[in-house]
Amino acid sequence: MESVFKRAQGKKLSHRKSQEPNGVCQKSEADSKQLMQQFQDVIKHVETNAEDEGSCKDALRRLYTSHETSFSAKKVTGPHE
Amino acid sequence: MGISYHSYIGATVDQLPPLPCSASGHLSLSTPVGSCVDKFGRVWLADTAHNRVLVFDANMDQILASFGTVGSGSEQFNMPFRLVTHPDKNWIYVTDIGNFRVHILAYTESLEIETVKIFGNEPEVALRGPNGIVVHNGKLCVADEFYEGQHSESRLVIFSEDGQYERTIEQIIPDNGGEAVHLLWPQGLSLDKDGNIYISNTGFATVVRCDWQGKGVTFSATGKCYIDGLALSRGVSVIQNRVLIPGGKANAISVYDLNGQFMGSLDGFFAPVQITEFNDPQTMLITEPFLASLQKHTVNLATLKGGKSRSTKVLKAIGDERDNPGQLHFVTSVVGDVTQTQSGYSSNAPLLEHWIEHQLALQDQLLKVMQPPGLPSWLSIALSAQTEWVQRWQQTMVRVFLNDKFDDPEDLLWMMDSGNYQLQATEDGKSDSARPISLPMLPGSLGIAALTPNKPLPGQLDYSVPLLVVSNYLSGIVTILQYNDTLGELVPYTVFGGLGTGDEQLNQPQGIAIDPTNNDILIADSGNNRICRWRLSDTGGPFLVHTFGRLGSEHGEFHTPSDITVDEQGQCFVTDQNNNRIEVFDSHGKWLRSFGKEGYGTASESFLLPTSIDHENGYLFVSDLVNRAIKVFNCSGEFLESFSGFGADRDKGQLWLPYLLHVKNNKVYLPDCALNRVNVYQFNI
Repeated sequence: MESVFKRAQGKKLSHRKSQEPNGVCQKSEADSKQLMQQFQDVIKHVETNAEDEGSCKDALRRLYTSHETSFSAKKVTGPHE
Repeated sequence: MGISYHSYIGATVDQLPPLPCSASGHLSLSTPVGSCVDKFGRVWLADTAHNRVLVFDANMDQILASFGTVGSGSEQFNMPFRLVTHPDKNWIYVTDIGNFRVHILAYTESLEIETVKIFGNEPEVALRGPNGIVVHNGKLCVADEFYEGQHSESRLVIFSEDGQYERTIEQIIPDNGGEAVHLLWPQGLSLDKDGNIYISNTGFATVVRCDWQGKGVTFSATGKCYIDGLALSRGVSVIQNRVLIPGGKANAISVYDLNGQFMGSLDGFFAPVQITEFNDPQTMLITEPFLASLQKHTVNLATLKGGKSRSTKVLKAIGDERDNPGQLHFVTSVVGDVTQTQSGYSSNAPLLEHWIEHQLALQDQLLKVMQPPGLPSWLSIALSAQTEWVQRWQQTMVRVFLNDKFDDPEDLLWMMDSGNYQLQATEDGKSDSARPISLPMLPGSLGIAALTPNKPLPGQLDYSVPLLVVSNYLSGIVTILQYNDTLGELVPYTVFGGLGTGDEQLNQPQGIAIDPTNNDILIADSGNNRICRWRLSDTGGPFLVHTFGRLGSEHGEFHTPSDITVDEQGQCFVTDQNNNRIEVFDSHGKWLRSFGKEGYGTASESFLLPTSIDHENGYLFVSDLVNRAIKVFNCSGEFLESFSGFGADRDKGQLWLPYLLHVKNNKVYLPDCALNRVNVYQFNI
């Protein structure tokens, strides 16, 4: 009999292969693209307004709030088993 | 040469005032797993990483009792895991997974608790990982998670209700004559009204149903004695004639009827593990260990049909206060070093700081009051996360206002405190020395690496402080941060990636490595099953050099590559987690060789879910998750030695869910995201 480890690996791999064509969540991908653009905007803002502490912090806060709104409910399920 | 435990970082906050006391404001749980309800309606909870069992009143307003300390004595535990109530007697069974045994605790109405019997560690039984437990008709069944049978299968062990060993079940024979079903890392167990056993068979991501003789009981909807197609199977509970599988879908509880027909999902959870039926109608207790939370929910499962999703209503939630000074929560990665050369941590106005912290705590309580019982589960979790996250911002502003910072930001050990949405740092590595540093991190930030460019980059503000490369598991975005002295914060220098499957996108990035030969950034793109090599141009712009790998089990293929390291010759070593091996590539992404094979073993080249890797001075250090071992190899893949230990004893360097390790100056820093601390090991050449 093949080891239980090998069979478990094979079962998980075939499940993963069956899921692969689904790709990633479209809404999350769109949220991520929007965040990337916001990152670029903030970097530009901080570069050109480095001495204006208040506006830089506001730009950072808006960026991170967007990210939090998009992704906080999903969280991370960490290493497995 | 040897590797030995040295110390840990991460304060333990487990002190309670004289009991009984309010559960509000006094309770910081550490990865609680099991729960049960006793004959008097009280709630018992395994506060697993704190090595104790807590008892609450039925409303979960009061902490009534705390039982147990760490150790292997009669009233001691090493990771109390699952609890079950005897249906007639005043007994609670507790699986003590790190001590390989089961306790029977007797209790009275006035809550005097005493040990009746401890069993399962006698040589003729020798449990290797007692996890789930059920009791029925005078018999007890225990899932022995890490038992290794002839073909590496796990087992169920049957005892009499008073702990006398009777027999084992090593395979499930389906009642319709199909092939035998085997168990691998079974965790939670549950029973239906006919006494059939439901097993969360984690290694196969299935839920298996059998009787007490090991005969598989077929689900009519599937024609098999198991439910598959699950994302994860860490637990199972049969409640209201429904099979509830926490984690069956990501961040949800999958619900099936007793025929195995999928009925729908309960949304708005984060890695739920244990679901326990409560005495009130349509009410259940749910633990979310990584949120350090026990909750009471209500939902009518009979009306969930057609594969739809629904929220439960949250009646009560307790325990998730894990942001005390020095405390870590779901710590995932580490970078830097403990130097002990610093003059210390500056705090210019301690009295004012205490006053502001007090005001913030009041505000936090107010926000919690604004989350009344009956909120949908998804809204409750979102509000809770937002509350914590907003509080991180406020605390950051307080620190900036007080000029409260480390003197030498270039010379610290940095820790990704993901559950608290922040980076913490220490200069001396003492157990309670972690302090928040700089801005709140984005939800989902996991891996970190330090990058020192060969020469200052355009726009780089302080060349003496390394750039910090951070992977975000949720958004797929990699951020390169730099320290802005004017703002007193880390600010984005540049970003790349973004969620997706395209060449320049990432999906669930985990570990990051910097190639010492050229400063390239290598990322374990675990969801896309590949490694991505990025480079910063002379103008500081990031560009993709190449990717290599795809989903599979052949050489050069990956199944969830979780971490990577690069040696001085430019060879890349990848933990190919679900293929249980280390894959080695040259700097062009050409496969060279691999080493390791699947199997138990704490002192060999066998791996079971190798999760993380780093190197120093020609030695490779691999964190082997299921074997709970740090294994040391030379760069040819020859095993040299190891440190291992499964459990939650902080004085012994034991491990539960070790994550992304980091090696620097002969020290191995291993964050354990379930024990909520960073263990430090010494490696002597």
